[in-house]
Amino acid sequence: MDIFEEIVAAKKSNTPVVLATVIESLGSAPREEGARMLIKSDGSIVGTIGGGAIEKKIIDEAMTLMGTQASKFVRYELKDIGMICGGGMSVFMESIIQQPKLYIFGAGHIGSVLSKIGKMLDFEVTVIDNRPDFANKERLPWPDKVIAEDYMQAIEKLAFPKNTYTVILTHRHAHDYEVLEQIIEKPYKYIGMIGSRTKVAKSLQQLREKGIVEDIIKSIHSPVGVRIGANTPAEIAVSIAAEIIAVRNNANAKFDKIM
Amino acid sequence: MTDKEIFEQLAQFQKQNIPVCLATIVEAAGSTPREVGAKMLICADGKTYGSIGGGCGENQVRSASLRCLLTEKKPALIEADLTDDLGTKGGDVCGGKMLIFVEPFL
Repeated sequence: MDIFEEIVAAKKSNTPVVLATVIESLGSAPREEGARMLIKSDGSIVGTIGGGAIEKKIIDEAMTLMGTQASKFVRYELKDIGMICGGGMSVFMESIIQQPKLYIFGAGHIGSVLSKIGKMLDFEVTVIDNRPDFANKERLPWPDKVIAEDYMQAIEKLAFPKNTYTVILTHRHAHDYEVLEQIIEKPYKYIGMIGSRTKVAKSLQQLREKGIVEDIIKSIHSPVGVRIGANTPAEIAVSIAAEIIAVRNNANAKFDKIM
Repeated sequence: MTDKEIFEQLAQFQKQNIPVCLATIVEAAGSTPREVGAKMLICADGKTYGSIGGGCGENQVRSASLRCLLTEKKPALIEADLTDDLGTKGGDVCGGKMLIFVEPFL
């Protein structure tokens, strides 16, 4: 398997890797421009950028980037790091992380549009609805997966890695709440739940009474989306997508929330 | 096209022995339309996949990539200057500079 196939495989199996590419090679540097090395999370490597002290340095550097969204451009004078071959090397390192998951509970109008936008935004998208009439590939050709099943049963089977984004938009308040109650117990990067201020306040109060700490309650994006005066399902989906992008990019978006 | 698809597409081109050039933004300063790590593939017929920001900057990179793929046949580091203040030189006015690594896969 060559390095690019390894990257594709790593993305599919949700394992973080760091790709290092030699961008400039001067003097007697051990490898040429375009030489590549892939560093895995256990520190093992595929390919080489020349071995020796510089490779060790690159691996150490790569481990600090592992699992983040960061990239780094480093320049080394080989004699400075004790390599007598002399010359210099610039290496571009980029962290390649797992594709974030986007779970959309509720395959109604907004869920449908959001699943389409989610794919454009490079999420692995799964739509879950307990109504087979709504949750099917004919209605929803875009997401990676469409699950027609009772919400609680579906959640049990889903994986929730740290960078999971969940949007709750079912057709019933009771379902919204039961899904919310389950997923706040799991790792997440983003949880958004649709609802009027009254409904949201009630659901969050229910969580408080259950003993959920305020920090967790505050992290729930509800009412969902950034305020852009959205009305139609497509507009609301865009507003939710905007909020998700802001969270993914750690942007200090002004969410203009009432709570 | 997302970055994952770029890698998939690149792996596929290599398997089919189709020559292609990979362009990656490795450094960006000031206002640039895309972030470090953004990628684009350029085929010998000029067809592109993905984007490093569109506009004249991207066109500059596309030309450099074709030269790299068809003539030079070796990697190059090129600078795209997007600081054409008034747009008078036909360039982009985003206000930043990007360093792009272009690399042919022959």
